[in-house]
Amino acid sequence: MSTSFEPERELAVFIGTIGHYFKTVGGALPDFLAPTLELALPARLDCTGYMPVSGRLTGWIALSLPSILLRALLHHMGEDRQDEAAQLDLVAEITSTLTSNAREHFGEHLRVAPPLAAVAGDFPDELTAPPLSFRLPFQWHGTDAFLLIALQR
Amino acid sequence: MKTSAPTPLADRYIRCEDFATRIEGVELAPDVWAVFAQLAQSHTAAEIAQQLKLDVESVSAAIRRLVRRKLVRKHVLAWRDYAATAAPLPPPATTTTFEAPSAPASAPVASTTSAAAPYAPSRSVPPFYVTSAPSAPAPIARSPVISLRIVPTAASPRPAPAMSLRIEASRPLASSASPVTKTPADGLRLRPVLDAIGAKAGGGIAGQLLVYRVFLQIPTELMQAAGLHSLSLVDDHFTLRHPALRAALAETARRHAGVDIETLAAA
Repeated sequence: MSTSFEPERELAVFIGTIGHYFKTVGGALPDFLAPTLELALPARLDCTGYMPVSGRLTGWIALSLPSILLRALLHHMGEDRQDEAAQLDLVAEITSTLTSNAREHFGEHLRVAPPLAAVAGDFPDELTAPPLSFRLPFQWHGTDAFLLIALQR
Repeated sequence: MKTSAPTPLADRYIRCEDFATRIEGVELAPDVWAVFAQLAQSHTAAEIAQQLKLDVESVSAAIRRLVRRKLVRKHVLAWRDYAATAAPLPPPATTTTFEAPSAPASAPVASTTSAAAPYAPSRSVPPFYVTSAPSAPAPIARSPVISLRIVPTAASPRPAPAMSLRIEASRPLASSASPVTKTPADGLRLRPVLDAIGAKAGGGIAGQLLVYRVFLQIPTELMQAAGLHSLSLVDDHFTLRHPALRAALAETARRHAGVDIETLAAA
């Protein structure tokens, strides 16, 4: 657990855990591409897991994945069922794993609330759209997805 | 709104009582069987990961596969069964004030509460989903994942990028600031400024996140007025010409990253 908290470095560690997940469960690291800062909330892909954070930083971190990537991941995991419910379930599982790791890493510096998973056009009522978001696209087996960091001022 | 909460890491799992009727002919990876072997008794994914010295991600995926094959189930008890085996509960607290969960976020997780209108899960919902009210206060900190299907009454706003700033190719930022090239007469080249800010956090993703935090402090209206709707950190050509935005950036860069952009610009 961290004894001091440097927000940027800690968030970078968090992003690293996403790569670790895909490497461990999916067999290959994703390729992270150049990020953008977005004034409007970007359109999300088919399934998105939202991870609310509070403490030294307030806002949420979201992992947005397309259906084709989720189906590929389910297939890689030996899952026969790959419908929308299974995809949403997988996003939930991924974000649950990430938040669990984050809690262990950040401790009390950054509290990570129970994640929320939603389909493309839905945005959880519990969350607030940020004034500016950090969109980090990545590719896994050639499929585009992205991570969204949305902090409040 | 439909909600559900799988908690593959926090929940405890155990073998199904009738697993023997389904196990014949099942072929799984050795690691998955190793996880199955642990589940003669109730365990969480984290506990098994620790015992087997595996990644919790792998154990979670293994449990998921075992659940799908109905070899393993989430370990839940009726209150009557729990009460018959559990130690006596402490006396009730005298305070009537509700206190939000204050246990460490990483504390072990117990069962979730459900205070929402009853929700009947669809047949396709995985067996470890439970219903949960997202706003209901849980008595103990836990980590449920709540799946939402919200009726799309209002479409999510979509970005309408008015301009794109290409600061650098699709690779991490350099760890040191780039020298500022001659500033156009009425503008400020942004790339060296972003590099200088990023360098304060060691470059790479951390540096890009510091750039984000600096821009986060700038009033939204200023960025809108400057037509700055989407700022891509992969372009080398953007010149900042909006005086108020430049002033705001100078202030936030100085305050939050210790970078004096006017000195950079004058260099």
